[in-house]
Amino acid sequence: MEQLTEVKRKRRSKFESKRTWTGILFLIPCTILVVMFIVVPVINVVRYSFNEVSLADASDVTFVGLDNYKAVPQTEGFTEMIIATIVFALGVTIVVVGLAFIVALALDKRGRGRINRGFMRSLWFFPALLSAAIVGILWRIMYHYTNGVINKSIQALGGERVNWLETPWLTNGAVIIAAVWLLMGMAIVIFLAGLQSIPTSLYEAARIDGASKRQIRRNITIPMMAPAITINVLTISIAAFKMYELPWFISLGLPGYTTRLLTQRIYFYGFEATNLMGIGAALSVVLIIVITLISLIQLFVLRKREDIF
Amino acid sequence: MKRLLLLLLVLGMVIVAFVGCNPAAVVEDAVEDAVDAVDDAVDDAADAVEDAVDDAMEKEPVTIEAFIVGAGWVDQWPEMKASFEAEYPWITVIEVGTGPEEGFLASRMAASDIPDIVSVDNTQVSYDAVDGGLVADLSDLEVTGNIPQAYLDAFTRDGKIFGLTQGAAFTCLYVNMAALNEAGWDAPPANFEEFVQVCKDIEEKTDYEPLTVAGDKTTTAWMVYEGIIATEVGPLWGPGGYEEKFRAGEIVFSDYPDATAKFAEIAPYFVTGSATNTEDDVTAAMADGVAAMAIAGNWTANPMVEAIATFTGDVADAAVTLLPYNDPGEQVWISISPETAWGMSAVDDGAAINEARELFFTWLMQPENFKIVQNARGTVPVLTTLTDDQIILPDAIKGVLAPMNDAPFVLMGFNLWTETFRDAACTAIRDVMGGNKTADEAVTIMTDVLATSNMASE
Repeated sequence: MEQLTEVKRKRRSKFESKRTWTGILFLIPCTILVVMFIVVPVINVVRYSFNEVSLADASDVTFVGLDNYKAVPQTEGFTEMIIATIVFALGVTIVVVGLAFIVALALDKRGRGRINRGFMRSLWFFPALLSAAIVGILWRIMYHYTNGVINKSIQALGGERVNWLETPWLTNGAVIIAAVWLLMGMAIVIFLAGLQSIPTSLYEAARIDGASKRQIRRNITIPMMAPAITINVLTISIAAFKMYELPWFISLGLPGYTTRLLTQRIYFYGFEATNLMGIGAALSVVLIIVITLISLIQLFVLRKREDIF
Repeated sequence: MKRLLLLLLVLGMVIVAFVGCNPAAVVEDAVEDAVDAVDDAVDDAADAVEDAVDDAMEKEPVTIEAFIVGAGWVDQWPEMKASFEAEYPWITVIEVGTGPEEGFLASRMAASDIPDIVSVDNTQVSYDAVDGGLVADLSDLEVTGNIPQAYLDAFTRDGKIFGLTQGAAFTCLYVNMAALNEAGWDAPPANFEEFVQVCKDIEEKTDYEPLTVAGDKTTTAWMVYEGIIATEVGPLWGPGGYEEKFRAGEIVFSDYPDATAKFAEIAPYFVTGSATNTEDDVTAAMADGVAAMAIAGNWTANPMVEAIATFTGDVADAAVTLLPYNDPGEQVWISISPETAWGMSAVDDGAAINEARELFFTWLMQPENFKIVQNARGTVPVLTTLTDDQIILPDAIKGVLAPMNDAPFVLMGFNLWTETFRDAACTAIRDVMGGNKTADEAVTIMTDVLATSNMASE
């Protein structure tokens, strides 16, 4: 009997070991890519942040300690850029998540004709297929003071033209609207997936119990959507913090630095003022830490909420 | 008897000589000789072509990258590319990036590889490329001798010529004379007082807005203030003084209140949105009759003149003048610069590619090819081998060349500033145009940033 068990164990362990090796082999390509394109660059960014670096010869580095970190806050318009980044990330996340949820609820309605619903979903998703740079240029053209379609429409309705791109706070709003337009599609898809995973039996039971539509939404739909909300809040806020090209193509960071994001400053140091690449790297490290912290806090708070529900 | 024989002999020789010198026979021989010669020449040429084709067939096909195609001549690029590839069938040229877009160059530099033919400027990114040994020294190329020394000096770093400029640039004021006529002016403004008065009259008496500029482009955004400060300090410091102090970070812009006042006076006359306008937006504003005047570089001469003519229906309505920032009776100081230059990669990509990139670069700098870019952009020519009939400039620009050549000048900002100063100064100027900062605040920022970020310090 013992012998039989031993043979079985051997067989299993041989099978298990083969399975493990297969798994490892499957992981190798992905691991190589992650190491090459994520781990190594991140390590290099941290290394550069303590050195003076030349873009033309990245091996030519001089250790400068914390000098690059000390130089970051001395950048012209730094405080305005911090505020701009927070306002942008916060604004985009709140509006995208809120609006995408409402749109997803509308698109999820049954009995309105499948083709019509499919078409509307495609339409909402379409901007997500475009590059952020293209979207930025399109919105800049639409916001143009004299020739933009938005001001032309306002004039046609008898209103006054609006200086969308050079008015404090209004420009922040203008940039946020464009980013919302770009990011909505993906958020809607995630919400729709969440809505469709809610068992219909819950709704049926609620209806039998006499729950109103509002009660169903508040007590079933929203709680059951908590995981989707968590995913969307996290992904959208990270995307907003990382976004660079869209706001730049729209407003050039004007007025002043009020719509200039920290990512744009990183690009400036990395690819324009290339002899200050070390400061750009330091700013990148700061931004990585900030995004990680915010994401962790969000994750903690939202997961807790998921547990409650 | 002896004499008779001698006479017969001479007679015989004369007859033979006469027969031999038959004119018809001579002509016939000459024609035959000529035909033979032509035949030989044709055969030689055919052989040469055959050899060239054989060479081409023998050569391994190579592809090179050209990072030179700018917005001003992108329409001409397919024709140029086809022409080069027909001449050198084994070389394929592909265009990458957009001419002066430095971010593209920087991203390629990060991989220690730059395109074979590359746009370079007097900017940090280009300097990094030169210092890193990525850009070739053009000193030994034959075509380098066809560019005037001053323009070679502008693209020389540590004794290395890293670029040959594609033209000379200066600041202009493009004027829609139909708009000025409507406002009661029959000539473009000649000094600052007139300039302001013209703006005022246009605003009050016409439906046009006075002035626009491509604030999106840093070179043009800086032009709004550059000419004012140059005209103010130029006579005080003399030729070269401004450049020297700028590079050393010693200009205290706020010490020149008259210049600041002029800046403040002109800023409100810009069309709303000018701070974020691209050069295309400015052209559109002139073509749509939105603005009466535009501050812009001479490199946009063709589209600007066409835009004004499109709106008014008459090319004669387009006038170009130097920016009238001078006080009455005084001379205006202008800003000039060699334009973006073309350089060549120094990265060793093998003999075939190295040879191909040199062939293309040399081909590009031949007058019959260079003129295509030159005339598409309508800029001031710099290639000495270009003949007069090869240069086609808009009439409006032709008229301003003489005053431009006579005017004292400073170098355009991008030859003098650091990227940090460029960013801060242009942001401040855009804010003044947009009404979000005063001219005083802007010059204070410029002074502070220049003191800490200048070519001497970096």
